[in-house]
Amino acid sequence: MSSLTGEYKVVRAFQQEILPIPNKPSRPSVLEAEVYTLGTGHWRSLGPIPVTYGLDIFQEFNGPFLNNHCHWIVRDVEGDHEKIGTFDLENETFQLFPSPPESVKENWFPHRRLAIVKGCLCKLRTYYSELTIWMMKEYGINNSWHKEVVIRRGISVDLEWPLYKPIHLIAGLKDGSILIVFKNKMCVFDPRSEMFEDTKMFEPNLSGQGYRPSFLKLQHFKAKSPANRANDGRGQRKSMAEFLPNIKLIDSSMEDLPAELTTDILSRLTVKTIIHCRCVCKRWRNLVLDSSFVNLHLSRSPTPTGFIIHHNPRTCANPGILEWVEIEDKVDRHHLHYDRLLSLDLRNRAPIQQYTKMHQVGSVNGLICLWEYGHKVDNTYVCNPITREYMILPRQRYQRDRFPGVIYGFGVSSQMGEYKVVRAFQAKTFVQNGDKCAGQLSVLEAEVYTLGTGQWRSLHSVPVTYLLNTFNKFCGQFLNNHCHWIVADNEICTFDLDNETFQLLPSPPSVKKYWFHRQSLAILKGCLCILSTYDSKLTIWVMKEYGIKNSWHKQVVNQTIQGPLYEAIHLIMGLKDGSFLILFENIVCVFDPRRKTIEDTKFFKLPLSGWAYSPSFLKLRSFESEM
Amino acid sequence: MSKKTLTLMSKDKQLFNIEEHLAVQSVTIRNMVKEDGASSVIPLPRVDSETLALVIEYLNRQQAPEEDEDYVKKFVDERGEIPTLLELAQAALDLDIKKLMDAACMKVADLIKDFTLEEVREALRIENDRTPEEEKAIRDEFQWAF
Repeated sequence: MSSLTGEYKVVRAFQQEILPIPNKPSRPSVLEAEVYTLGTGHWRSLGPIPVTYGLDIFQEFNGPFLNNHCHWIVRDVEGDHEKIGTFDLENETFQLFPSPPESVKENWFPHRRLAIVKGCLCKLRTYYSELTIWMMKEYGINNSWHKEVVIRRGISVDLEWPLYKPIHLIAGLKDGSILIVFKNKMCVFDPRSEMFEDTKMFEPNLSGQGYRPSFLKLQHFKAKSPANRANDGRGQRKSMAEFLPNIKLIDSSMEDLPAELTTDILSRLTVKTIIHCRCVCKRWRNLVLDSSFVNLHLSRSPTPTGFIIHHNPRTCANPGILEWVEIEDKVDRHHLHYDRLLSLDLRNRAPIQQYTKMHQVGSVNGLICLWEYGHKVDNTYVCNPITREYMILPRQRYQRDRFPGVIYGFGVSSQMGEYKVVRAFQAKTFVQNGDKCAGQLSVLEAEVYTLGTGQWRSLHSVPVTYLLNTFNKFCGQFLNNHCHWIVADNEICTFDLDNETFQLLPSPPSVKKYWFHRQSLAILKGCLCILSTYDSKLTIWVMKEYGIKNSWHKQVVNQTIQGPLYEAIHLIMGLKDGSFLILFENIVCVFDPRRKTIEDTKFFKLPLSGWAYSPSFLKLRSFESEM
Repeated sequence: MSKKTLTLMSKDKQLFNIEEHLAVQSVTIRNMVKEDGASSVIPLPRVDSETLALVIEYLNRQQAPEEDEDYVKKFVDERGEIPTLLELAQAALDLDIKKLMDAACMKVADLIKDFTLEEVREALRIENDRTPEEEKAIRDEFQWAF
């Protein structure tokens, strides 16, 4: 550490020429030196520096630090005399330093080591059978070199001499003894009793050095951004407050946060913000496509956060456009947010055929199932408008040509988490009993497709007690592991996605079977509900507890609509402010039951259909067999 | 019966006392108490003393259950600085205090939702580690959203 500025520095120097070269005239040695100041983020080269000495490969390369200088044992350019070379951390220069007086030419290289004991620079010299410790009492003063300890052969009989290996001094102790590494063992030597003692604390073959623990934080040396660097004065406390670029520490930045937290925070943002945030850094890009993120993001919106509008012209056949509207749904107000960017034009988009119509089948967890139906065209698509992936399911066995009535559903099974598409056509079988028509047996020809299996499974002919009604929507409402449809006589038919059976669900008590009674199914705040219109009266029935007949509850009655109503009103979703988003005569309207108003949102032109929707990052790629 | 007190130690070695019945709102502490009685000091090596003081303040709240949701929201709202919130979220994650973590993360999400990319990076101190070409490639994956 530099004493003036308090900067921590690392210095490393290589010698360009190995000296000495025998029988050659001496020439200057050059050091290639670099300095790293903690907090700067890069090494600074000091360039080639001519010095009057050579580095000694027999000595240690790590220089003890004392008094603003690092110290090494070097040799003069002839290679005859040992010297002490220093590096000044302040002005960053290499210098020679006074050596103990006994530095004379020796034929047999003795081992020397530098050490710091009690704040003084020490030099250890091991030569044949003798260890001498020199201490420089006053730093930098040549005359202050003082012979402190001499250990000679014979004083300790159990030691093997001569000394082929250097002795390292670790520390001087207050009782006058010294801690040394001798023959790779940690020993204590007491110069008064002249006794060596193996501390026997460690296995042999070790090295050691004096160490003082501290709470100095490396994060204080974080490399500064260029902007900050310009403002900071040297030596100010905050100029130190950064770290080495490659050191990772716990800090209040997202990069150091556990992925769990990053995932959590990101999952709470809107889809568009999430997509933009993928560009923030490499980690975030992969995070968004990770299944744990996808699932967490899905769990954040158990109820739809918006709706899809499908422009589906009736007059001319074309696949139409899917538009996505986000709803800012607050207790006191709501706001529809339509972003043209988010629309998905199905026209002129291979492999979708032109001159055919696209029908909505259902939507679950951000996936949309569509039915492309037209002349000689019968395809089922599953797509995710967010990831822009789609798949076309294989051909079914049962085609519509032979069967007029159809129900279609899409959902996810609660037990296995499998995504399933179900399609059923009605086949009627008349039972002849003598010459009197005893009745008719209704049969559904049903097929189920589980995403990822690559084929439709036939449930064969399923006898049911009801008929399908072409007046009602063929697309099923998915809730609670079941798809739901309204069938003839205003009954509610369900398909259980786990055990794959058709059942009837209790209807609201007073819904009579009038011909002009129009009904539509919807999901309102997690409950199945029926919008019932008759003449000019709209009633919304809610099944408070799923499957319980007595829990049907008349939520809203409205008689202010200009009647009579010939078409069903469809509910897109209920909003937190108590109003309802509905499709009324193919217009997206907001129905406020307290003010008894139905207002055109004026968002889209006719004609269209729409359904509640929550976007997700669910990957179709995970259902590989179709791709 | 006197109320049992636990001692929590922050990463900077500061000690905090808290009554056990309040501390066990943290699932992590609850499990520790269940396992070995946690009679000694519980070290929290990733939580600094400032953040731990906040967590203790939160655990010591005297709120009726029905007001709790509002309290947590207000609690994080008053500490609306992103670095503080991230520390708080991390502490809540380590200690497994779900409500506090949810509220802190929600607040951070709320603060960064209208940020530009540069602002997000700046606020969360993230270095942009991609070249413009790489960034374009990532944009192209969701081209429609840009």
